[in-house]
Amino acid sequence: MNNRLRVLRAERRWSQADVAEQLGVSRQTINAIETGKYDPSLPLAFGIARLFSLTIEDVFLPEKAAEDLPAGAHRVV
Amino acid sequence: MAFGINCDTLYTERDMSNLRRFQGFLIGWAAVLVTSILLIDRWVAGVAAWALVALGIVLSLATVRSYFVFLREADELLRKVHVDGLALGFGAGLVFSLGYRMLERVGAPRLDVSDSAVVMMTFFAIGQWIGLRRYVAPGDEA
Repeated sequence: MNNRLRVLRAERRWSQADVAEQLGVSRQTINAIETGKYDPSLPLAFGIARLFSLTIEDVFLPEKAAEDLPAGAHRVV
Repeated sequence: MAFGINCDTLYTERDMSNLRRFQGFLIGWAAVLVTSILLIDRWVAGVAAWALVALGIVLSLATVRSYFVFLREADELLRKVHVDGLALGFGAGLVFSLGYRMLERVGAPRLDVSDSAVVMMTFFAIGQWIGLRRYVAPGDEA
């Protein structure tokens, strides 16, 4: 699963620790999600989306769907 | 730091609190177990021996319960690392305990039943190490 967590976090100038603290998880969990080593649980995915005032689909993208998108394209939900 | 990986940022404050409680029960259980073996083998018998055994069982159950609480409330990545370790430990223990019975039949030295626990704990630690290597990246703070 691909995600835009690192980009969204950078836009707000938040550190991984900032995000982790707001979500009540460890910094390594945020790091593992950003690097694609770990897919979050549904409650955490909802929490991340809510934190950035977005929907889950705006933050997370299945790998297949991400491959189908042309470079630079944005999904319209 | 564990297994050469910085784990400080893998444990939340709640995880550390639950882990300390678990470790407290674990140390208490180990102390009672060792003391009980020494006392029962040399000096204590009858009702007192039964009481020591019962105390050890109560502490062992409390230790397992505190680990359940730790695991249930753990940060989800930490829980995944532990569950990976538990799976490998359980699998290795099962294979060893059943497989070694067959080896004994063809001449391997007889082992004590508690040796399975050593295998399980060893592979539990190896499983955690694999999980840490797989999911936890060193540094990478942005």
